[in-house]
Amino acid sequence: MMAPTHRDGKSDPFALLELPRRPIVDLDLLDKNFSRLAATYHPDQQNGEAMMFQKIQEATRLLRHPAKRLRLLAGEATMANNIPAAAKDLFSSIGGALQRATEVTTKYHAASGPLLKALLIKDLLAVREELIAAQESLDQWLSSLDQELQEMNLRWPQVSVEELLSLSYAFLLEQRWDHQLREALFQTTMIDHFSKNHE
Amino acid sequence: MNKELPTTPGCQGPIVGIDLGTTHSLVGYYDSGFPILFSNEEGSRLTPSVVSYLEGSLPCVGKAAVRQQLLYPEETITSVKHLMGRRISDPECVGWDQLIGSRGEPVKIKLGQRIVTPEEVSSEILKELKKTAEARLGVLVQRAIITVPAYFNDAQRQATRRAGEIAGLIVERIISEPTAAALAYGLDKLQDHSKIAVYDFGGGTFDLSVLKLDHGLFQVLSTCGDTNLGGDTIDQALTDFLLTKLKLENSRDSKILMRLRQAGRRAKEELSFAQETTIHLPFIEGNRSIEITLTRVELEKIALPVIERTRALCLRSLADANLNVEDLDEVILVGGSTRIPAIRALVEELFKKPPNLTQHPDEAVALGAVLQGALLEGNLHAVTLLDVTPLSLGIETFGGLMNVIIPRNTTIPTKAGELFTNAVAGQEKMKITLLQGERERAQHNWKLGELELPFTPAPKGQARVGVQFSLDVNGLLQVLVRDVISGKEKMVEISHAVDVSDEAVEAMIAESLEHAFEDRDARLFVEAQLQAVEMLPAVEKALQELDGLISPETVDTVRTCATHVSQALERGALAPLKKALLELDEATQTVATLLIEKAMHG
Repeated sequence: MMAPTHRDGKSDPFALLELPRRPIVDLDLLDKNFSRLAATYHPDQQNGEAMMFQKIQEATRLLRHPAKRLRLLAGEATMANNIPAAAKDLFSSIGGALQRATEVTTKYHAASGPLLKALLIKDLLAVREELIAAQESLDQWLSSLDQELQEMNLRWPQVSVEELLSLSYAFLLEQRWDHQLREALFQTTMIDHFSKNHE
Repeated sequence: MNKELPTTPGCQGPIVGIDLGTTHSLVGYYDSGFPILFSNEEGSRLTPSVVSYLEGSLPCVGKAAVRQQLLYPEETITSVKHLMGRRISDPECVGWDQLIGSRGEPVKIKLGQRIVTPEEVSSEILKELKKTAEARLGVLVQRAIITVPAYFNDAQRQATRRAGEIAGLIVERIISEPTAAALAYGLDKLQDHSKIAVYDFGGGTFDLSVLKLDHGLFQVLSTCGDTNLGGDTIDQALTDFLLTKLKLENSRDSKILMRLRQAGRRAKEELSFAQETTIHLPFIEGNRSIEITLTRVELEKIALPVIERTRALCLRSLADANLNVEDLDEVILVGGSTRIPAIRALVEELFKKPPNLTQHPDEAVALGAVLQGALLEGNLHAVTLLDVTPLSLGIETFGGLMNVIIPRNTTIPTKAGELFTNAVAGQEKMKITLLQGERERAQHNWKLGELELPFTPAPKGQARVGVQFSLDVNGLLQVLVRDVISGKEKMVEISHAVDVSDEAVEAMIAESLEHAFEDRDARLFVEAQLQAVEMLPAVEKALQELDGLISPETVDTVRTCATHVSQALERGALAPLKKALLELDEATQTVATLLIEKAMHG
């Protein structure tokens, strides 16, 4: 099944933000158009329209990330999601790193004094290394997804709905894992403060 | 006097900007192309946020109330902003002895013979500001922009709006303080595409907001803060220090405490400019007079743990905005406490650039409120402001977890929907609990209230009710419920805690006064006990790990302190246990440092 190349005007996020319906959008242009339109329709403006403002905001959110954008291009179609074969090992290594990070940071926050916290620093540093390594592998996967996306963009509109959906799902996973890893890394930066206080 | 002022019909008239601060409040208006802040009767633009309720007279506000405070500490209230939208059981209410009510109830304050709500107290401050503005503008003032800390939740924002209403003001907009400050700064100084952070450390609250200016759109990217962290927190630490130093720690005389606190605050303020200062307290206790010297170094040692708490919040906000410190063009300091050199030093170290000091720490927020008023009046067209919601909004799911519906840092106004269905056939209603906060478990978040969804009787899973949560430009929540089958829609009131009768309040006062000290001591002891039980084996483990790396003297000191802790634990009294634990913490400081160094550098 080929991807639908257009959708009815007004409610289409691409049309709202005045961008061509393609797998890749110009993000600078997206920002620029969002700023202009948001300033026009913000409820504070004389001729503001709250409904329209929210539509623009929602559309921008959908267009900004490839997962949502590709999902939009696929139209109404759905299919069962499977973790891509290439990402299965990545999935288990990230999952393991996250689990260990949660364990250690929870212990760290529960520790009630500087000494108790200091005893956990070794574990925290080890888990941090693990998170950074996982983040690096994830970044590599992301660049291979980006390549696929570019290739798809060149081929557009000769792209099937199935391809759109599976790449969209891959980006979605990448985004989620990236978010979780960042959060875990953020939580472990507490050790920096700790050492700071004792300089 | 107000009645003689010319009124303007309907929803017209000037929109004044108000900074309703923890320690000071300000009011102003945009006139002839400039934002102007008004001076009060005493000739100052800053009106202390202090209200005094003396028997038989009208409440008095500002400088006059500050003077009353020394004579009538029990009838006077400061920093009421901490209590806005709070319930008795909130951790923020610990340490206030004038509060009454039972668990889960909105806070009420007992001042002398009177019982008032935080909204009423705030409305007295607002009335005073309204009077100041009317005296200067010569017309009745009915509309205002009021600023709140960015990290205020829905209940705190609602309470602020309610205070405005009680004072006779239509609150045209609630805006975030750091956003207001950014507006005051950015209007003439900001380049297109620049990104800034506003570090707002005020009297009672801390916020860090990251903003960007793009094509005339001033957009908040992220915000993070603590509504119970500010100059007050430092004052409290300083008062505790002085109490111990002057051996007054057992004094429960509120006049002594008040004088110490005021003297401490003055000393803190002086030490932003001087290296040392003297605190004079004549006849503090009977015939005893006190004169002690406090140095900047001493003050910094007391204040540093408080100041350090802003670090993680700054990093959180930056991480949420997906930015590094290097991406920021400026870090703007606002809020009176940013005069403290140690805060400036922390900001410079953390953001890797000298902070921008161009904004008046006390006035920038009010100026921003004034500008926002002008934007709404249509007298100013420079920018459009896009703010975000500081806290995630969600509902409690089965199993007591929080399900996020609108994530934090979403641009407002915004809305999100959720579909609910009946779990059993014929079910007529369903209760959902609304939450605000970032914690995973529902119970750790702020409970906004409950909502009852009506179902049209139908077989299991077939009744459908859609709920739309919208956050308006003020960051206030509205809920629309729509029955999918019947298509009926209605706005739903969220039930906040119910009001209780006066009798119940009286009973609660008596009860809370009786048990307040006992409860607290018992809980503190259990906490200290837990800490001791954890600490003792940890000390042994640390000493083993560092075998040969620390001097025998240190080992001896640490062991002695540990023994003291065990002994205090057996005695079962709070004060000696806390003291022993503190000493052990101090004694193990070098041990902790060594452990970190060993871990980091192998």
